[in-house]
Amino acid sequence: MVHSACNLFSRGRPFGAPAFLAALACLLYFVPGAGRALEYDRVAIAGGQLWRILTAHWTHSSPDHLAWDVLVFAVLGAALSARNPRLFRWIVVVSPLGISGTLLFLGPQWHIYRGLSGVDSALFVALSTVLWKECSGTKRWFAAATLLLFGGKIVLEATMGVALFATDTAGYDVVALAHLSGGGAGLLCFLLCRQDQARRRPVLPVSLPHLYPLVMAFLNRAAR
Amino acid sequence: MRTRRILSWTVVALVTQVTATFAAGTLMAVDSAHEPIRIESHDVRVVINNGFARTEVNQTFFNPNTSDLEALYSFPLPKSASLSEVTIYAGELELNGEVLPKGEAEALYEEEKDQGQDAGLASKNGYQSFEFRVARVPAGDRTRIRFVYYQPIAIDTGVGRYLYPLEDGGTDDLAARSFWVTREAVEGAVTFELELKSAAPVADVRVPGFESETVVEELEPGHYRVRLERHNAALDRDIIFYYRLADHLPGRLEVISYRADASEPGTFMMVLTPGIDLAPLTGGSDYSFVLDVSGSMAGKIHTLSKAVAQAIDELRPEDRFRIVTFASHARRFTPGWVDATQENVDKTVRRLTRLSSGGSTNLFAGLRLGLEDLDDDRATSLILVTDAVTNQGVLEPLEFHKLMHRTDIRVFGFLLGNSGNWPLMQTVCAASGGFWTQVSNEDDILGQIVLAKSKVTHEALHDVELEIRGVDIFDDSTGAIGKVFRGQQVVAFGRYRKPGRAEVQLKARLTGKDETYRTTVVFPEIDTDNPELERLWALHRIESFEAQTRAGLLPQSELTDISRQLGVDYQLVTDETSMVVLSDAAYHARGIDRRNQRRTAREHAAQIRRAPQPIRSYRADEEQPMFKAESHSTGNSGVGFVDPLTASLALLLGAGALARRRRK
Repeated sequence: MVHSACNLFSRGRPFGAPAFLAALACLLYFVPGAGRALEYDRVAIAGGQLWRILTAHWTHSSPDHLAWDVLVFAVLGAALSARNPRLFRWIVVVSPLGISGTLLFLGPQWHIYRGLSGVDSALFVALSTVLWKECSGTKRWFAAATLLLFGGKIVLEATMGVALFATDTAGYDVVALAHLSGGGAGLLCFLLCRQDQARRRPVLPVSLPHLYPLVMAFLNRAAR
Repeated sequence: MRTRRILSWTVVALVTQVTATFAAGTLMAVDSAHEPIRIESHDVRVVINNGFARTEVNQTFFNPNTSDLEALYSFPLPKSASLSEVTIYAGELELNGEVLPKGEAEALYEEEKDQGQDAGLASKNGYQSFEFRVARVPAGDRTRIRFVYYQPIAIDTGVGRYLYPLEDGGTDDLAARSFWVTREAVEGAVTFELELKSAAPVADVRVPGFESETVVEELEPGHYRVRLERHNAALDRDIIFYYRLADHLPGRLEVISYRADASEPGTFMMVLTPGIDLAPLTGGSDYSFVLDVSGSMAGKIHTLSKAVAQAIDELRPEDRFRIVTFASHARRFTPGWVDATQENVDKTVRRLTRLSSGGSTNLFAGLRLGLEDLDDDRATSLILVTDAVTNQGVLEPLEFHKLMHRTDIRVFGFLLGNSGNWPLMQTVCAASGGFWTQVSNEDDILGQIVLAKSKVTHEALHDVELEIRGVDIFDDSTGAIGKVFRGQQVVAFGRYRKPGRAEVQLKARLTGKDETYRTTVVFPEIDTDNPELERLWALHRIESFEAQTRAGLLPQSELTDISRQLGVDYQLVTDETSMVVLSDAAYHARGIDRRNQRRTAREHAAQIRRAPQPIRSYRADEEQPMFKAESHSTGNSGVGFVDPLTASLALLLGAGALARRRRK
């Protein structure tokens, strides 16, 4: 089973990983109590429930919320995974940390957070940057235009502190900061992954699994 | 940020110290030759309907012995609980309770018991527990006991908390422990079912510590059902239910009233949830920690010292602290006020690890020392941590009241467990204008921290006064309220003679300015939805007289008369009344007026009417809001949401990327 799941992330199956993760988000939505146990809860994180830093992004609050977030994740994930599976993996691993970390440091007013849209933002920025770098002609300018439009939107939202186009969010506030930090994480992953590939060795002196406990401990401290 | 953690870590320290030595369960004498009576099942049903909770407990006893036995069941007393119904099912016989003056009820019970009749008795054991006696549990047979109590539910900083207390605080004296043993194991199932009906939208509910065993259903917005089932469990863990209201709710005034007859006075409960911006406090402060290190703290002292160490480690350099410990005597742990420099903090932290416990509890001595040498120019808070009943030195509440009035200092009290002397803690904190919190082992500790620290670190409303004009109200708790901290509600009870429109006015001092908030409400001619309000009002009145007596404002003899009168009139188990449980035939034969039977019938009829109805909002200031700002909450809930327009752009981008790849 573990072996099969790992295969989903292999180069030969570019759509496997996004599909698997999208299905996981859907499954978690329908498992009773999963949302409460896995959502970002600032107080619980401070109390040591560090898994919430990562799992919050796979929980959702309403069918609409789930549908839009997961649809965008599946499509952007598949597109990026097909072009650059390594970058996709970087984003899936790094952006949840980046978004939760930003909320812990810069968004103390946010007590509870759920949703995949921060990761979607990371995917959006990374994919459009990849297209801009790899393509030419109209496609290149299309990628640049979408990046500019999206980048402008998330910066404006974060500055104004309101969501520009979201109207029905089931009574929850939209956390523009999560979108901005997600976009930032996407760009950072693109740069790190590019260096990583260029050098043909990891850009960081230690592997991500080794860094994770340290980062988690740091974020736990921030939550307090 | 660092300052805010002072109290937080103290709460951690306090909470982690609560341990269980006693719990709810059957009691029997240590030297009894009989096998203990077993508890076969324990079933709890709770309905929280806006401002108050109704708790119904059903428990089945089994007597494994060859002779009939008397059962004694002890239950930690929930705060402000009005025990209203006790029913014993003995075979096909149903016995119901009637409240009588204590001596009379006890004599009746003994008489019935001596005659070999089925009977029961429910009494209040001070502030610590309810005790139920069942005269005869037949040999090799079962007896079921059912009891119901009501209690108001306050919401603090947008979080409602309901506690079903089972775990004792370990404060019983040795004499009692050596005489009794408790059997708290339940051989069948312990079931807990709670229904929440809230007119205000609810963001989240939780039962900390039992998450994996709890099933939560949201039936409609604001209407939840929570079910918890445990098998072969012991009655030694509290069950706590939290519900968090949605963010951005307005400050509001809710009024629940009851008036069944136009010729009788009505009863009301008024709940004010202030929507007033309270600014964070700035500048250096002094913190005086007064810590209980008596014998009952053994085994917890290490955790306490560790937590206090963490608390002082969070102080800012401009803050000062000192630590006083008390057991049989009080002593300065630090020589006096200590600047919270890193060096001083490190030195104190090292010493705290060597803290030890022992001796009895002289709370007065601890407080007196903690109040010495205050600096008038600095804001000072005293953080009192205790799990025990004070049993040495000055014991009179009045003396505590006087002591607190000698200085201008806020006391924040943390009372561990369910058996701590909360009336005394209330006296101390109320006299200082502070607040106190009871902490259970099962509490969501960090949640409690969030609530407590926002009170310490924000300005409070001072000299708060609640006034109702235009309708003749009496026997009420409006008037001077004192301080109201961030997130706290103001709850007032009272009665009104005639219906009509009234002006409600809240006056307070905020950052040196007088502020007034007002609205108009209607007291109805007839409203029969909530007859339970009368019992809650009566108990609230008794508690306010008790507080006055502790403060020396009312003689004890007057309190005794009032408690007895209100207890009998409104059928409440108080310090002066008990509930005797007899068969209908026994009541008839003895000519006892069935006041509780009539009152209970009214309550049951209202509960049946209310059950299928949509959740009723009792907000009274919708037309003319009393407050402009939002009520205080613990924080915001947010989502990462991809709006349809952005999603379309993303899908276009994704499709473009995939299309290009296919062509390639």
